[in-house]
Amino acid sequence: MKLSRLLALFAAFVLLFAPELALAAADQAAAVLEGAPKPSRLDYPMIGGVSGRTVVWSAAQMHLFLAAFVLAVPLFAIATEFMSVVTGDDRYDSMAREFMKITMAAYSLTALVGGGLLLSLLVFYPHLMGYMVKVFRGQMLIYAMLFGLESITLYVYFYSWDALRRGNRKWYHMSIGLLLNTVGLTLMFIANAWVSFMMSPAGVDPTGAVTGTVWEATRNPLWNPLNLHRFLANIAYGGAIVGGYAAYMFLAEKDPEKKAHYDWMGYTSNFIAILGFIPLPFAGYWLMAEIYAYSQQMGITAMGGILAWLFIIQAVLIGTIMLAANYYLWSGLMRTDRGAEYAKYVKYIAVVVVGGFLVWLTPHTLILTANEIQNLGGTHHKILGPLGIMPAKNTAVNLMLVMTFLSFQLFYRSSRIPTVSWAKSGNMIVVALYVVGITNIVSAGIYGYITPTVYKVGASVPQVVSTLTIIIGSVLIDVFRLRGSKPEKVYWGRMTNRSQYALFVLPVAFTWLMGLMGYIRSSLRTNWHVYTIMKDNSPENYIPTLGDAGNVITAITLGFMAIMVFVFWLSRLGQTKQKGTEDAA
Amino acid sequence: MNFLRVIGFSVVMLLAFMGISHLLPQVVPDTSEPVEVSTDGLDMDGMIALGETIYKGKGTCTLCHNGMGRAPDTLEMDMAATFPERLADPRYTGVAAGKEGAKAIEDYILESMKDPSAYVVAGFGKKGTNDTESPMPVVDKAPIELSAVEMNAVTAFLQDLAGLEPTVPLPSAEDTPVSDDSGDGGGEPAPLLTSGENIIGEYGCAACHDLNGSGADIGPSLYGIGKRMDRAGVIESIIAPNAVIADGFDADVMPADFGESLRGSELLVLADYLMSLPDTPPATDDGEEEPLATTALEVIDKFGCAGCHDLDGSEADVGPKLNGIGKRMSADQIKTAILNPNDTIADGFEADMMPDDFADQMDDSELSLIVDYLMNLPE
Repeated sequence: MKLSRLLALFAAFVLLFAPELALAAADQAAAVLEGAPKPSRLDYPMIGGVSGRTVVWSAAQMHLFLAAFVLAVPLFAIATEFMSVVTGDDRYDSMAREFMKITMAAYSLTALVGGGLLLSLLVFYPHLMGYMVKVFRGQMLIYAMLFGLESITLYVYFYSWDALRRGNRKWYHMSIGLLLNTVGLTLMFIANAWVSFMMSPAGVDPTGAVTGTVWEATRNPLWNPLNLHRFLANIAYGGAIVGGYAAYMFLAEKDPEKKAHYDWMGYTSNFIAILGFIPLPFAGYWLMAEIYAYSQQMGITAMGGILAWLFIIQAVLIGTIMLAANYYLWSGLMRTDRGAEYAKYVKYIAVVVVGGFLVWLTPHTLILTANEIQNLGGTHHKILGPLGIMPAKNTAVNLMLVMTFLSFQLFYRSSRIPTVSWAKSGNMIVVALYVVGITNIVSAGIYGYITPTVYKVGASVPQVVSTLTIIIGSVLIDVFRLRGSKPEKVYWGRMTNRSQYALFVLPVAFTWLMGLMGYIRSSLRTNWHVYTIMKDNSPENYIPTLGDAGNVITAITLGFMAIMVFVFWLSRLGQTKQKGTEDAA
Repeated sequence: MNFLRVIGFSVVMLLAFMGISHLLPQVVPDTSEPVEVSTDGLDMDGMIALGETIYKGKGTCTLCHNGMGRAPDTLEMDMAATFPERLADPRYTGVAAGKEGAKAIEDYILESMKDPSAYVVAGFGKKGTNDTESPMPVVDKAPIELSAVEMNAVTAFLQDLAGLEPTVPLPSAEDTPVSDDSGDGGGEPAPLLTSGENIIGEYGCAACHDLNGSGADIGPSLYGIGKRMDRAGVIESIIAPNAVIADGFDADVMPADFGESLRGSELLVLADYLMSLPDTPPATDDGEEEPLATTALEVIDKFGCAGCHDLDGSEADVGPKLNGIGKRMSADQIKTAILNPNDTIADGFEADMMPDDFADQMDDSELSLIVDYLMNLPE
């Protein structure tokens, strides 16, 4: 609730810059008291054999991928820059600049694809766009103006890096970075308002007539859950993509010093990705709870209806991400001499992570032929069936998150020797935290089996609390326990090539996962442009099959990968000098 | 080299994700344009059957009213006892409060659909509202948008479930037509079928059931069904074929969408026709054979091919789609597939589903006609 208020306050602050947005509907009542349009099937433009929906879908998803990347990287660039100021370690500053260099090339492509999205929406869904403009009025112009401001601050932030690198000037530079991120987040919040309005409209009456202010339409029931979910997902996504870049550079570089730099960059990016990823299921839980609260029917469509199978693919993707991230962390133990001491725990962590993965992807209802159903006596397997329901899956995902954090902790500990007198007892407290927390997670999972469905959801709350307590508690204890500790040498670059492939798994799986989640979020509206307000009567108003969606998502992901390869190539091109040019100069 | 390895690795991973999306069950969407079907002439049995179809389909009632605990499991509860209890509940102050009888229950059901928060069963309210606000959507508003006739049909179904004589009015010609999503893509609705024989021919029932001398045995024989089941049971078996499976037969074989594709009055006509069938197939005069089909369409009608195959828009999916088969198979292969259907089974389909006695039943000229027809059948 507090978080929700904070986000709302932040958005309200930004919107104050646009006084006309806060106008009461009464001022414009005469102009807007007309219901949402009701286009017939023939009102949707048909252009040759082109599927309007696929064009808009592809453009929207591609824009989202790029936007998530260019919004996220400045966020952790400024965090990394801040780290350089706090620690005095210049490597952080150089890495933050390198992060931004990659973003620069992606930025104009984001705008280009965004323009393509707008055009395709205007061409294929003119009535919807007309209605959305009527609801959000001047906010769309504010969006365009903010985009201009975002461009200015981005260029100033990047190109002034060296000019404002030292002393007090660094704080000016970081202020510009802060402004850049504020504007970037505001852009995302505004775009989220439009998308969430389509799912949970507010500020309009049941016919779609605009009766409220722009702010009311913006602050619709699903706006803040979506804001939080996308904010965290963007951080995880940006980290994963930069990690992929670092891994490629690690493989390509021959110079040990540069290899070490890119190993460190890969580790940091992976850390950022997982940092954003760990709270993501909880943000997703909040979003889903709000969807249920807004429309139980919409919630059930997602979780228990025709889209339910989709969550098996989601489990495969998230499980893949978890396994890859853990594998990379385990490989990282070879960077320190003391890593071998901790490597013995890896096999136990692996059992839990793989076990959790298998539980998560076990479906409740099996895909069987009629004969198999008859032989089995139903569509649920007697032993495996119980693993298909939420208590088992919640338990699995929480244990996987705890184990992923433990993998991080092992590497961190292998690089430091505590010197405080209470190091041993502190360690005992951390172990106890893990034991009690895991026991709580498993117990709440078992409780979920013996309680009615409605309370099963409630049983996941203590599981989440236990996971967060383990993570936050052991971080706090380690902060004090390792204060004044003796650092061990970390041999950056001492990694296998194979481990770098784990860093490629992350961006590929993340991208596909985001595409999949886009498909489900949009499908929840079923055959409505704006849920319950404006019907989608186009010939493509149905939910495509999972297989068809899989094809489109894969094609978009391939397109995005091609763009990223181009972006990375561009960022390297700037450093390439023609042979003999320096001599001639 | 590194570049190619990384790209290859990523592409393989993407293809694996895509492959999984194809492995999972595919919910094939209905892409047809909805058409509206008149309910004029529907009797009360038809209203009950229609109500059940809406309850389990368009009304989306079973999304929550099931055994998962989100809403009372109406289909499993003893509604005969429950309805009077609800009307007598001191917390209930709605339009039927303090009243008794089927009419009061009709009012109660209709009220609960139009104003779900008028009375919330204890324990089923929205969280934090102390059972004063219902999570149930108003069913005559978006997104469900049931018409008055559809709500009456659901009411009739629930009254029937409680063992009561439904009290709702029957639809008239002036009533809003019922939305039927089984349209053919935007043209005029298909003409209403008014005889049992025509309905059986149109929907290909004889391809699986022993009817009109077809001798088919994929589903149970329908002769004498009037003695084995009552009319409501026959209607249920048509619109919800998996509800009760006859001994010796498999579930999920009969298409489950007849509740949507049959019009209300067609369903009743078909049920009445089946109820009137004799116990055994009518004796045929020895030596007197059924007349030869002289066109491919007659062959299709005679042998009921469209009952199982998607053929010229029949949309049946027990067997593979036949439109465009000429591009996938040669004439000889098609002939073999008809005469010996279990020799090669198309991906995604099962053996022993298609009758394997066409060699005995089909004349050579009929076989040639159908093979030629299929070879030239466009996509």
